[in-house]
Amino acid sequence: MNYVINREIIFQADLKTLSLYDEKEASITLSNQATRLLIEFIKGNKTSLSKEQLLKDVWEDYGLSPSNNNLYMAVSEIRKSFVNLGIDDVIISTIPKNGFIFSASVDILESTSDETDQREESKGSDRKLQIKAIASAISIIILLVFAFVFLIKKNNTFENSLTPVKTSKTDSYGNCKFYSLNSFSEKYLPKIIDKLKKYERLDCNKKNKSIYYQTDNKTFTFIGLCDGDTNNLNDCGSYRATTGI
Amino acid sequence: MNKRYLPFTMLASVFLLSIVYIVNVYHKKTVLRCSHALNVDIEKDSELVTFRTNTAYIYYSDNSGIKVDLGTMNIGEKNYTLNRSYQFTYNLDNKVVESVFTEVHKSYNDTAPEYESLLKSDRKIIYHITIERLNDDGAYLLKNQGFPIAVCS
Repeated sequence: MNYVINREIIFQADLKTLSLYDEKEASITLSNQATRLLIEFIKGNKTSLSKEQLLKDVWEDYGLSPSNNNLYMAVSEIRKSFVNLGIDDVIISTIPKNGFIFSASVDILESTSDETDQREESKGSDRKLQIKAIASAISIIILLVFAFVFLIKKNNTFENSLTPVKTSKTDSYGNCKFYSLNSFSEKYLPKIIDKLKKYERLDCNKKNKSIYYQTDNKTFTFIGLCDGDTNNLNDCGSYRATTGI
Repeated sequence: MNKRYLPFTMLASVFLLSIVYIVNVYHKKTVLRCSHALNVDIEKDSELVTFRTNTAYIYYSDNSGIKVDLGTMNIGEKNYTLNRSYQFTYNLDNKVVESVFTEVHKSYNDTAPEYESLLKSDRKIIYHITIERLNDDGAYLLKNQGFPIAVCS
């Protein structure tokens, strides 16, 4: 516990120091006995304290052998410390053949502002660390979630579902290229050509055409034709029938 | 950079990257668009049903899509005009695009008969389509259950 004596001196019992309120850096360290004695003086402030009681509370109770000499030395140490800090007022008075009386205004401080600052700083630092840890954790979680979604999406894109066309045979007719979509249909190429002539779509002398076909010759016929070669297909048309060819 | 700001910088960067990523992933983009002239001849109930349309497929990145049919339809001797778009959703199942047609929007001049089962829109129709790449320049071969249905670019 810390005390302010006469609104000028700070007594930090834990640290065993006396210092001026305005100059905390200049402090005097007390001995253990002087510290305990000053605490007893503060407890019995403005009352008469007998030598016997003080010897008991400060020395005997701590397993030390009590003596008047020790008591006077401790009182002297306290008085000198106050004087060294510039306090000339008589705070500790001797009551001849009886004891001492300590007379001062004493205020209790829970902690010094430095300690409070340090504690606040420490709390703030802990809080910052916690926030940083939370921020990092959130970032990592979000990244993992998006990496997961990205992987799923990547494997299930429209692009991935497209496959290259498979043709079994390629034939040329003028500037036209015929691609059979299965081997069974290959033998029906002449009929496919006739069919296209019937539809007046077979102008193979004028421009390049790419023609894809498949038929079972009975119930299904498909012909797809585009202008241009395979690298540059455009203006496509499809013919589909549930009849043979 | 001061090390003590590193976690916050990291968090801010991750946050910004997340926003960019989310916007990029969920922003509706066209992932495939192709069109073709379609001629379909189908024998149905001893009648010949024909379609002559310009058809376009558009797939968006938000797993939705549109198919547009513009042209004519003949059932026997009867002629009809087709001017409609179908909305669908799709899911990618490995190499298969499972498309569920959910809605049809007909233009005022679409005269195709409601009863025609090939055009019925009062039920969800599911197609399992594989899309094969004819080249790297946006030309595709569409197949339904292994049968080619269109080449488009």
